Amino acid sequence: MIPFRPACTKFAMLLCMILAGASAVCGPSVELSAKGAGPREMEPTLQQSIPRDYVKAWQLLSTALDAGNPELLDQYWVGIARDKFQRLIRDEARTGIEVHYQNISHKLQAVFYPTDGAALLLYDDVQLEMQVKQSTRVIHTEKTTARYLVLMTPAQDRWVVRLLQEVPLS
Amino acid sequence: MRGIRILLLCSIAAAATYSLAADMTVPQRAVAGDKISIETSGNGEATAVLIAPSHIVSKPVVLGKALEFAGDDLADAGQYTLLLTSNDGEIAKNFVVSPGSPAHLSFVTHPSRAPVAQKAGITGAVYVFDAYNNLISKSLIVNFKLSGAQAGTVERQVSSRNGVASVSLDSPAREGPVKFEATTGGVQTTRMVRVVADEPCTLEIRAEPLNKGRIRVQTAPVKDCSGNLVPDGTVVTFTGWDEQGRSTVDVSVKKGIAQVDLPARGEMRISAASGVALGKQIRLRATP
Repeated sequence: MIPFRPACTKFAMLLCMILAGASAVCGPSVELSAKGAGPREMEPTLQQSIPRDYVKAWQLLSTALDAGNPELLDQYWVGIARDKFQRLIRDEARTGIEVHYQNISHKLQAVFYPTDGAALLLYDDVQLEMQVKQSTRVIHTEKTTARYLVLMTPAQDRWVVRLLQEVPLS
Repeated sequence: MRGIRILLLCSIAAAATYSLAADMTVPQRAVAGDKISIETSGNGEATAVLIAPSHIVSKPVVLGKALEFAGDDLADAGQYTLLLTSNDGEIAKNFVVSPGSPAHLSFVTHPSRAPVAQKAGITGAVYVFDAYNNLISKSLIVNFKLSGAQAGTVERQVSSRNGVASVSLDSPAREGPVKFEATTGGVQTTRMVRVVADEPCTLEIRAEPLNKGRIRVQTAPVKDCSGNLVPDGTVVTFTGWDEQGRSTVDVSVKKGIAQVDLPARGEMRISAASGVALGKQIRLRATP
């Protein structure tokens, strides 16, 4: 299990606990378990870069949704995942309904890492808060625990998200 | 009698002003691409907002009538939230959409050029998707088949786990193109893998004197341990020793044979090497 808390010193963490919206200041907590991933063993450097890149992908998704700018996705989202979230951003502009996700914590479990190292399949048990707004008025808020199946692939200097799909918790 | 009349009038008046609270009945489960009809109750107009994992649908609804969603509205697998906003307020209900049946496969094979007779030398991973690009995470039987004109056929059946099925197969002993197929749920995808000769297994050389103090050295057809000619470009290093000392030349194999002309004076020893293969040393006398 590798805990990852981006850009948080002990002081900053304390500050986060005091301030409201702590996760907005520090980003969500992330844990990665590489046990059971195979057939190739996950390299230690990969075990560090996956949580970092995955959290950045979520942060960019949140920013892209808030800004209504699908191009922001290009940095960490590719393929099916990017196409689907681009549709979400277009739908927001079309319907005037905005969906905001605040992800609180991620528990990543790697399940498949092929011998050629060309992909990584993970589960993410995420705690998040969904807020639906219509014309700046909040019409719905929901705190939920969800499980996502995530496929990440290597790009030039980072791992990017190719698929993010919610699956049943059980 | 008068009391009964008053009661009746009150009942009529209450019925006239009473309106049913807005409500709806969502399916517990649906499949991606399904058309669904959601029963609503209440009176008046409302707005339905369907929050899917990666799209939003908003439409007006007359309460008491069915609310229809088309197949594209349920394209994503995952949890959906349906909001109904009316004068009575807002109600929200969740339901889950599962992936549909297999529609296409993402088949990743490695490598594209595999050496002959390698244990687990060819690997393949199949990700199974439905028509809406949802990964099918439930277990499916995937059939893998590796076949070629000279390679014969190898088949394996693998159950997918977490949306992926992977297999490692030994590469055939004969070089040439092989078809690598993956099939599940009536959907098939094919990749071509070129099986190439491995490193040289043994080297045989022969030499003949030429005019003007030179000799020609040539290999017999260079083959791997399975009897395949090694590919063009495989480097063979020839080394010769004579009175003047040692000379070394790297030569590429062309059509299975490597050949070189070396300067020679007097008695000469020649050997050749390529990869781990070492040719038997030969001796000859060069013509002056």
